[in-house]
Amino acid sequence: MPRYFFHTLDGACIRDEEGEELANVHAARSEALAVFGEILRYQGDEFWETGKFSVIVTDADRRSVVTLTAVAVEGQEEDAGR
Amino acid sequence: MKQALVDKLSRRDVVTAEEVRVLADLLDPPRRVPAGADIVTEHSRPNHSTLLMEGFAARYTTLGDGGRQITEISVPGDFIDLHSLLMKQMDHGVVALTDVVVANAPHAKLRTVTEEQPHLTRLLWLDTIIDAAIHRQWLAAMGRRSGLGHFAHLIAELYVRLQTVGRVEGLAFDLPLTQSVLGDALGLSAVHVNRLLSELRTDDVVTWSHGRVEILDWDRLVALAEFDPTYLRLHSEPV
Repeated sequence: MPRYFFHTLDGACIRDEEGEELANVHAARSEALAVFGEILRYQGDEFWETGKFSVIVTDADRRSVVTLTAVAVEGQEEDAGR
Repeated sequence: MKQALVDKLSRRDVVTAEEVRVLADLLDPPRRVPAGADIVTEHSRPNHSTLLMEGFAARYTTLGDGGRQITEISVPGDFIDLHSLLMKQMDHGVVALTDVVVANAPHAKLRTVTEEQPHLTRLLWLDTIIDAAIHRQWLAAMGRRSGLGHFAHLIAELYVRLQTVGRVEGLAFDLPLTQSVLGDALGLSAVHVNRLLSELRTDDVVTWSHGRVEILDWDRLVALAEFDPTYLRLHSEPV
């Protein structure tokens, strides 16, 4: 099974050196979403230091597979509601 | 060999020479269990309880999808399944996280202790009560603490428990576990654990490399964890 690496980024990039063996790209996407949700849920106020958080998935050849990003956008709630 | 247990019990109340002898007579010869093997199997009906003498073990519950939740990490001096004397059938398993040394205490002998040694019985009872207190703290951390607070709480707890049984050097101790095992204990993914470790290291609170934990700033660790060791009941007061 291919190995995928899940790096996290919120200002500083924290590299995943161990990686995880998963069946395919689809499984890597599912895992990325699970990790993304879990870390955001437990981040508390830390998120607001940068207002941005990403999980970057790469394969064994260091090619990017998918990136998930949460971004805080302030002061545009009314525009978004229209 | 049962010194870790005596050290721990002695923090809570005076353990008499006779009680130390009774504890020694209770135990079968020590045996080794390799890392990764079950010491007590889920749903089994053991006829003895097991004292952990060296190494780390974990209580765990397995889930339908093959996942595992560790519900307590046991350290030397812990009776890992004292409750099997009364529960009879194990509702969870206990696995060796590292190579361990354990000794069996046959239930028949433990029963005799409960009949002839009321004070020692209360001390052992207290130990199972503290297991429950540890579970309460883990539950609160799992449900309500931040990832960083939860991780910090686990490190602070393990430090205090290992210190009680003489397994620390200054503010450092051996904890040869993988990030995946830590994830199972914290209910977090290995990626998240890796991230939290990196944060603690960057902030000069804790470093963890090659299976050794070093606490750089105890006060900040305690503050992050909101760690209050009352639940470990390490003060001496008659039971």
